[in-house]
Amino acid sequence: MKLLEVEDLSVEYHLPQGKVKALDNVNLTIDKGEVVGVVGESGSGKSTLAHAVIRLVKPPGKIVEGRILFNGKNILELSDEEIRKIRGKEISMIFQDPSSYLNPVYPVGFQVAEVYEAHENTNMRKLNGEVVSLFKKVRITDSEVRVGSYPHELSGGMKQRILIAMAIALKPKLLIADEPTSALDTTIQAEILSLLNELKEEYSLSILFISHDVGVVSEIANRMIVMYAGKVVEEGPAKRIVEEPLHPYTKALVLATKTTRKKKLFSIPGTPPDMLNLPKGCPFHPRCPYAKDSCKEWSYRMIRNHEGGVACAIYENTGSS
Amino acid sequence: MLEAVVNRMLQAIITFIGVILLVFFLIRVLPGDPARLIAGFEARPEDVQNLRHLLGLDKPLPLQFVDYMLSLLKLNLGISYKTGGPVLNEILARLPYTAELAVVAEAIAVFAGVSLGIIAGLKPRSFAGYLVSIFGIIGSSFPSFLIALLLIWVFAVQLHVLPAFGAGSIQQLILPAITLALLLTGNIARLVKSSVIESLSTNHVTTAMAKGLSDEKIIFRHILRPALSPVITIIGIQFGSLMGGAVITETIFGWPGIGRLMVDSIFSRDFMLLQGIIVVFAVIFLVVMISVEILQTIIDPRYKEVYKMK
Repeated sequence: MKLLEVEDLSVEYHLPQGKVKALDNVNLTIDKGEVVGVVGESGSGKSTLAHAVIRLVKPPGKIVEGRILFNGKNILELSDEEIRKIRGKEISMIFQDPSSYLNPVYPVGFQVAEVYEAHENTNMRKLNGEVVSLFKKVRITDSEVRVGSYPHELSGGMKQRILIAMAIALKPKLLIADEPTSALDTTIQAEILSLLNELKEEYSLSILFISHDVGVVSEIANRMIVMYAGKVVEEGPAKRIVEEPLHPYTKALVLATKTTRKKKLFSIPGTPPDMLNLPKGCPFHPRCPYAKDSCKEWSYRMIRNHEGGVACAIYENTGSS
Repeated sequence: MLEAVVNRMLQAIITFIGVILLVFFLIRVLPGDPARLIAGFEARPEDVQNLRHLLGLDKPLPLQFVDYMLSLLKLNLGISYKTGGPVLNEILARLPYTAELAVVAEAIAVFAGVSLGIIAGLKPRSFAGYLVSIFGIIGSSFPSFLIALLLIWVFAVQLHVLPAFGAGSIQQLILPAITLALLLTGNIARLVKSSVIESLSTNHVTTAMAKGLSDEKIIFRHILRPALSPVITIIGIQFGSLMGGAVITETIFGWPGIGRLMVDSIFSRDFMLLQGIIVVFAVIFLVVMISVEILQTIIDPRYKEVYKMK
C-alpha cells in the first residue's frame, strides 16, 4: 500500500544569478512502514525534496511541477489550512541541526506541547504528563526536569531527541528525517539511529531518511534513492545498492564511505556540479571514470526493473557496448 | 534572578557615583558666579562674599563635593540658589508633567512602531513597509520643532480642534505627545521590521511550521518574541531620554516639564538645581535600564547567563 507517491516533482530556485532546478522530475514512493533513504552530495536536491513533501520549501524556491500524493490526496492542491492539519500530525519532520531548529526563548517541554495544542486544542497546562512520558519514550534522562530546560542548556543529542519527541507526539504516518544525525558525534549518531529504528517498529512509521552518508542510510533504510544534481540516478533495495551499486556516481559514493572506515580516503574526483550551469547530457559525465563521448549527448532516462532502476548510459541496450 | 538584580543594582550605584562626580565638577567649571547672579550686579563685593559663604561656595571644591554627597544620602538635593526652595520640591513639581508626556508619547510610539514593524517585516513590499521607511526618515531627519510647528499649524491654527500650548488637560497633551511619538516611531518600527525579517528565516520558524501551528502562533511566539530583545533596549533608551525632558518640545508647547526647568537652571546659573535635575535623571535612567535587563531575561532566558557573567 502506497503511503506517499511523488510524481515528476520539480522545484526551482529563482536566484539573481539565474534559475536553479533543485529537483528535476523526481519520482519516489514510500509504502506504509517502509524506510526510504535518499543519498547524495550537498546541493543534490535531497533536502529540497524533504521540505517539498510537506510544502516547506523556502522562497525563492518554488514547486513548479508534479504531484505529491499522500494517502491518495495531492498535497500540492491542499489549502493552507488543510496542509497545516497534516503537518505535525500525519507528516512530521526532524532536521539536521537540532540547535537552530529549537526556539531559544521557550522551554523545550513547551515546544513539544505545542504540537498537541496545534492539533488537539488541549490546554497547555494539562500536557505536562504527556510531554514527560514522551521524553521518556525518546530516552531523555531526568525527563521531569528537562521539560523545563531551555535549548541552550541541553546537548546536541538531547536536542535531537526533543525534536524527535515533537515529531512522534501525535503518532504520524510519515516522518521526514533531513540529515538527522549529520551534526552529531558518531556515538550519539548511533544512539539516535537505534532510537529511530525502535520508534519505526513501535509506531509502524514510514520514514523518508535524507543523508549524505550511504553507511548511515543503509543501517535504517529498506530502499534507497541516489540523487545527483536534482535528479534520481539510482533506486533500489538499500542492501543491493550498498553491495552492488550500478551507477558510477553510486559506486563512487559507496567507495567513499567504505574507504573512510579503512582510513584510506577515497574522494570522488572533481567538484559537485554548478547548479546554475549544468553540463550537457549526463550531469555526472565530467567526473565519471566510465564516461564516453556519447554521455555528453545522453538525455535523462531511468532504466527500470521490478525493484528499482538506474539512469546511466552504460546500462542502455542501445549503447555501443 | 534576585542575585542578578542585586548585582546590577550595585553596578548601578557605582555608575551613579561616577555621574555625580562628573556633573559636580563639570558644572563648577562653567563660567559665571552664582553668588554674583543672585546678589545682582550692583551688589557690594562684601555682600557677594557673605552670600558665597552662606551658600558654602567659599569652601574648597572637594569639601563641597563631600557635603553634597552626604546630603544626598538624606535625599536632600540642596537649596535652589534662585528660588530659595528645596531643589527636590522644584523637581517633584515638574516631574509628573514630564512623566505624563513621556509615558503617553512612548506608548503611542511603541504601539504604532511595533505593529507597523510586524506588518512591514512580514510583507516588506506592502504599504506598511513604505510607511516604516517614511517614519524612519521623519525620525532621523526632522527636527522636533518643525513637527511641533506643523502640528500646531494644522490642528490649532487651521482646524481649531486642539490647543496649541499649556498643560493640565488631555487635549493639551495630545499635540506634544504626538510630536515626540512621531520622532520615536520610526526607530522602533525599523528595528522591529529588521528583527522580524531576520527571525522569519530562522530554522526554528520552520520547525514551528512543521508542527502545524497556526499563523498567529507562529508570528507571535516564534517570530516576534525572539525578535523583541533589541527592541526593548531601544524603547528603554528612548523612554529614559524622554524622562530627562524633551527640552524643545516642552518649550514650544509651554509644557512645564523637567526639560524646561533644566534650561532655566542653566541660564540662571542655579548650580544646585541643575545638579539635582541631572542626579534625578541619572537615577531614572539607571532604573529604566535595569528594568530593561530584567525584562530581557524574562523574554529571552539566554540573557540570564549574559548578565550573570558580568
